[in-house]
Amino acid sequence: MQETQTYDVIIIGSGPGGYVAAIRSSQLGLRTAIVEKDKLGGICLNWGCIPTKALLRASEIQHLLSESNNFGINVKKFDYDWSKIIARSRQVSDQLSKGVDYLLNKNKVDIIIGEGRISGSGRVIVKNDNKESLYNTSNIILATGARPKIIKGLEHDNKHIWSYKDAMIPEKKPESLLVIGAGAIGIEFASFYNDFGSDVTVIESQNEILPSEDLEISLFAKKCFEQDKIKILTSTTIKNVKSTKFGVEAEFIDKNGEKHKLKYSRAIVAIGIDANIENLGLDTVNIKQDGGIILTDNNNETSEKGIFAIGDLTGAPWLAHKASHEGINAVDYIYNPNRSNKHNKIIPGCTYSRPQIASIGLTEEKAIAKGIKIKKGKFPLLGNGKAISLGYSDGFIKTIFNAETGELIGAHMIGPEVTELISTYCVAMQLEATELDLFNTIFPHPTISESIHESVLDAYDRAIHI
Amino acid sequence: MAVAILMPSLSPTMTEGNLAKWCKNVGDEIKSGDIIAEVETDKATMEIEAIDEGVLEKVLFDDGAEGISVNSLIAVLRNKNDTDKEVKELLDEHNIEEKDLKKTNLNEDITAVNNKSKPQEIIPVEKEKIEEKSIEINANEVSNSSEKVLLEKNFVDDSRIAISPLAKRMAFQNNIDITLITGSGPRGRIIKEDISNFINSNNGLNKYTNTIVKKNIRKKASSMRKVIAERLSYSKKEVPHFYLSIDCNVDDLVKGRELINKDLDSESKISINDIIIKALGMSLSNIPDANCSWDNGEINYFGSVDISVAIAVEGGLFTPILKNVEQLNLREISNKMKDFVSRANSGKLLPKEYEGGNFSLSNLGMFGIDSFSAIINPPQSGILAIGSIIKKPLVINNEIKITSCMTCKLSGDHRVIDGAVGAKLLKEFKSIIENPIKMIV
Repeated sequence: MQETQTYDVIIIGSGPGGYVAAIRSSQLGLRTAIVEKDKLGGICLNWGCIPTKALLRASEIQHLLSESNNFGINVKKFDYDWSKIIARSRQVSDQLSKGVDYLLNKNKVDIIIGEGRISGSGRVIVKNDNKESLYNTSNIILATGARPKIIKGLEHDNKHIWSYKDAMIPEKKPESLLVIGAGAIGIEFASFYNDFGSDVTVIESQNEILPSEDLEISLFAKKCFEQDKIKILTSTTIKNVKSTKFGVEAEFIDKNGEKHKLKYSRAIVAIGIDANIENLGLDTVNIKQDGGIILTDNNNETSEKGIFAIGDLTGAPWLAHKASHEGINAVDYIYNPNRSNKHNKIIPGCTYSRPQIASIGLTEEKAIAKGIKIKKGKFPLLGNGKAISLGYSDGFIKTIFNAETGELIGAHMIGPEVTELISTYCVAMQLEATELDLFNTIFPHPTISESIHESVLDAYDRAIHI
Repeated sequence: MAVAILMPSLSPTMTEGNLAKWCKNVGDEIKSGDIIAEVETDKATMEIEAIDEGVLEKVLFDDGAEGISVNSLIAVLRNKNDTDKEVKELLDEHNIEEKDLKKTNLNEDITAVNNKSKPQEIIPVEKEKIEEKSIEINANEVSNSSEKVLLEKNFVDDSRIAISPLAKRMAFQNNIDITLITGSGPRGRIIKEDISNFINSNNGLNKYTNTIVKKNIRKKASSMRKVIAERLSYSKKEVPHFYLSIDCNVDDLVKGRELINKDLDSESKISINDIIIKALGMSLSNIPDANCSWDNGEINYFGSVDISVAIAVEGGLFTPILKNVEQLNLREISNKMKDFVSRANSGKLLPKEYEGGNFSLSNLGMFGIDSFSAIINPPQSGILAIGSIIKKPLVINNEIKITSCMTCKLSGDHRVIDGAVGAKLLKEFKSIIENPIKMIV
């Protein structure tokens, strides 16, 4: 084995957690290396957030064209080139992966290609083509992310039974598609393929689709999707999916307890993810785990001093921006363990289907379950000039306050570009704004964001446009 | 333009001040904030701080000059660009001619002229400034005016406090004084969690009992306090104190006083304290070994008996000096003391009346204190601490008798007074106190 350099920080995994941590670390003057066994940028850039957004942009344009005559624009005939749609998605990913490479180099982060693992405290071994190199480092940040969960009877075959990765690069659009799991990933694919004309069925074992969202949002989303001809089967338990010669055969039990056996061209299994904690050398050090995730403290430090874990490794929500934030949190702590930067870690969530869904904080149900006395406001986009002008006024914005303190405890939105609007609430919650601060904020007109203002006002029965 | 430095008015009662000493010489560069001079006022000695910069061009009084009217020109500060003419103009403005630099008071006319001129602002260092800035509070948050008053009262500090809107509201709702809370957010910002933790650590006390947590208040110490702190700290550190205590039977003294006061109007009555002063003065005169002071390896035996008598006033105490007590009769002592007490309380004692002295007397009898050990006021050699007169059983001629008893405790500077000398002094004092007829002699 070859022993090489010594670092202040070695980060294993270059996803949105790892590469952001690496850049921050280098910015702080720490000697930093990042280990990646595949492409820079991890799942997010290569097989997750980014390529799916490229795909969804295509389906959105497809949809807009389909209703262009509503705007007085007659498109005589339009068509799509499936392979080009897929290729564009890949190109976007490549572009961003190269961007990460550029940023890491610019920030003088050493990029070590290979599979990294801990080899006792302060030691990282990187394996590349059967060659192993040992690196000494004061700190290790584990950022190896997660992979699709595999459940017996629902194993992907990568041909007919897809993981999200397969669903991003099919050679052709499936005639019919079964989406198993109505979380964000499943719903985005359902929306994408439905807009391109696949016959889409979504199966969800829980009572509602997007089960982590506010109930009103889930119900409204279901209504929208059903209007667009997506079949939605909630409270439905999938028994198994079998790959057949031309497609798949799925067995499930619906909410009335009736058994069904139906055929589809393809199936996507989107039922959650498992953290990549294997082959990380965790057994060479004392790192506490619980149910497949690594336990960390407020500084993202594991039970082994000097070893940190961020992102999907530390559990839900499995979101890129959570990973990035934790990466910076860990590095800032490494740089200055005495920093005082306690802040709220409230993680927004976005689903980029049509309509889009975005949320932060507690749902109404969870707030009530916690015993909080709430005030809630809701503003339908039908009352918003910009949304009507866009020809897209399906949706609403809901805001939840603690009735006693005026604390903003949750916001939930569905409609056009709400994934861009949610940041307003993110900032407000981070700064611990109360309803008064939001009342006093001047929102630009005409924007959909005015609906945020109205929603807040409505919570105190002061809405103007309802 | 040349800057006029005027005798500052440092208290409402001050009409004139003494120039204790100059801290800068003519020709010195003065920077803003420099101490230019020390001024003795009716209460204390204070420093004059410069606001402007320049060169000390002229001083109009020498060190020790007394009775300078407030707002009189005392010095001239010359700026870099000032011409001689400008300096002269300023002096002219104050009716002062070059040759006319006086060492004593300027007359009333000059004071009057001063009022027309633009006086140099002088910040007396002693001036207490407790600025209370309230944090900006959105009026909307406050539902009624009484709440608002409470809010503003609680949200005071001399600096801006970083606090989130939510934390601020929670603090208000729970009557929490945010100055008591250390923020844990970015740059010490107080966040919701800090308030929650505070409430929890106080067991919800604030929320349910509506108790307002009183905050600590920091004030600048008055110059009187500073002097007390400095001198007494020095004394306890440097002066080897020893203590001797004695009980005096004051039956005869009490009786004697009654006789003296019998036909006197209330204003002329002689107090127990007056008698004690007289007795101490006589004792010191009779035991001259105790009337001395340690002075840098020499012992200074005082020719006269000058007793500093502690008078408590609001915020501190004065120790005006009765000089030549051994030559004063009770009436004289009593009159002087009445004058001292009255002027101490109105802040009109002159520094020369309380600076110096050979020995101190402190009487806390009127406050019900049985006995106490006092701290010597350097460079004096001792202080006698008098307790209250209480009835005690005393064995006299093998018989128990109820007597009026007063405990007197001497604190002595062991560098100059040994135990035996101190004992001699106390014995003499006791003999005079118990036989007040001796005071006639």
